[in-house]
Amino acid sequence: MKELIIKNLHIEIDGKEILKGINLTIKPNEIHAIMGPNGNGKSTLLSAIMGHPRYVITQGSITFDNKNLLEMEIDERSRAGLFMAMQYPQEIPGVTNSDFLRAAMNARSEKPISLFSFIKQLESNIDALEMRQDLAHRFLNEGFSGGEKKRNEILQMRLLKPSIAMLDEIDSGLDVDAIKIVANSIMEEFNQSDMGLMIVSHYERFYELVKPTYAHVIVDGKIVTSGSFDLITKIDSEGYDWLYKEYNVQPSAQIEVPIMTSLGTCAINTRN
Amino acid sequence: MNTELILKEGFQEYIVDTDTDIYLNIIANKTSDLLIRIINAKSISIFSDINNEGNITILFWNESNNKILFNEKYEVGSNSDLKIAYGDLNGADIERSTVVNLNGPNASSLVKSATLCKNKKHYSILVNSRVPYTNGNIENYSVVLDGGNYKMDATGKIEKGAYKSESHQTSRSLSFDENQVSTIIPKLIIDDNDVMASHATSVGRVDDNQLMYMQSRGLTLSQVMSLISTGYLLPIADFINNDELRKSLRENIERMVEVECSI
Repeated sequence: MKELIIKNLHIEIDGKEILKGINLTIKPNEIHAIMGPNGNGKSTLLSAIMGHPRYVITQGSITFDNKNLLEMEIDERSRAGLFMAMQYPQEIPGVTNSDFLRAAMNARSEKPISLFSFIKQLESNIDALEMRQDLAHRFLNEGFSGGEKKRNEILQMRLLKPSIAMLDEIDSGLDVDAIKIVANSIMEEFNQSDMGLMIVSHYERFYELVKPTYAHVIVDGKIVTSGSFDLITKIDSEGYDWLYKEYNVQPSAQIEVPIMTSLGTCAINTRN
Repeated sequence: MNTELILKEGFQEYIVDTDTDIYLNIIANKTSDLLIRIINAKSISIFSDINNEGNITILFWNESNNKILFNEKYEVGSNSDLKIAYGDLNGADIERSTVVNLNGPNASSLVKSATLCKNKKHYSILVNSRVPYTNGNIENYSVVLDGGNYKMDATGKIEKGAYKSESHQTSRSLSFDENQVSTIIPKLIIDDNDVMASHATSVGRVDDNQLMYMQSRGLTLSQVMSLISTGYLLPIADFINNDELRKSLRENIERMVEVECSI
């Protein structure tokens, strides 16, 4: 059984503790909804499981399929069967989507996938996600709309067929129709496989479509409560305030922001 | 050695393989695609005057194992177009000086380079719009490896009175570690108001977030580097519209990147 087991996970970023003892087990064929106010550790949990080097694990363990994930590099974790659909997928100029996807598929198989088989799989998945065919030949995520980037993440998930997929706010940036297409696409893959899913979303509307087995709420770096779909419905109608009172917790005030980089400056010579 | 190269219509290949200096006068007034394959030379000087609605594409493919000095000057007349590209993936020093003068209305040019640099490769490129309604473009992509010394001094100039002209340039240099030098000087010298001009430059390592994104799909660091480097250098193979040449250059580039950029 390819189980993902997280025990007493503590994580720091830049010396600040973000996760303060997370315990969670994800089994095949289960869907876990991860909820909680912004900036309280949901994305951090997913990124740490995937192996983002920015997150320092100070205590606890993560094992997957009885292997110690913490000893594995990010690419090894991926090849072992983990996948994370990013909240902010990176743009990679110069590398086409199809070259990238083929390289990623080849990275996890003993012999390279034939061009014919690759194109067949790519095209059928592009159709399922109702994406534009030309996106396969464009540079990876470059100039894609927010919605196109999110569909591209699910395209990657469907082609790479992970054992555990973690979806970080995959529904943000999608319109009502696109949410249905993406949710159906996720569920189609889920139903055809033994995949376990961890889904971070703020919206019941999305959870209605993917029907989580369990829901967990992270506040201030801890899972304060877990439950079934009823918990999602209650949070959707009443918010988190009741939960803060009932469990006597305060949400962390910090807001997670994407890391932006810029290169180069522009100089104007005004001398005549 | 002085050589006159009269271009005919269509694709042709010229091989430079000499121990001495070579002076090449390219005579071109038609639609021609020229591949100059450089095996060896001490220095190469090139002059070309492109007129009469000439449409010339020249790809320099450098395979030399020795240092070569290049000195090139192109005069582009009205309604004529010049495209030149440098495929400098070889393991030897290069010093290039290229001047393109756009001398007539609707003269246009593109100077493009793809450099895999583990030696000293220095470039000076000047594209000069001298009259109204001209269009000059410069695009440089380099991958600088351990011990490489890359310098790109790129200038787009629009002279006074050359209104409605355009000058654009992009130079990007990718490096893998700290033991290399990459310098890009993206100059625009604009002496007229009614023009369009732009310059874009990036120098440095691949962004950590981009690396992490690609690695999170199962690619090793080495595979990520190869994919990105190939993306920088491969477009030069499409410069001349010739399927056989494109296939051979692509294979060549992919092989070289695999050997040189794997870590």
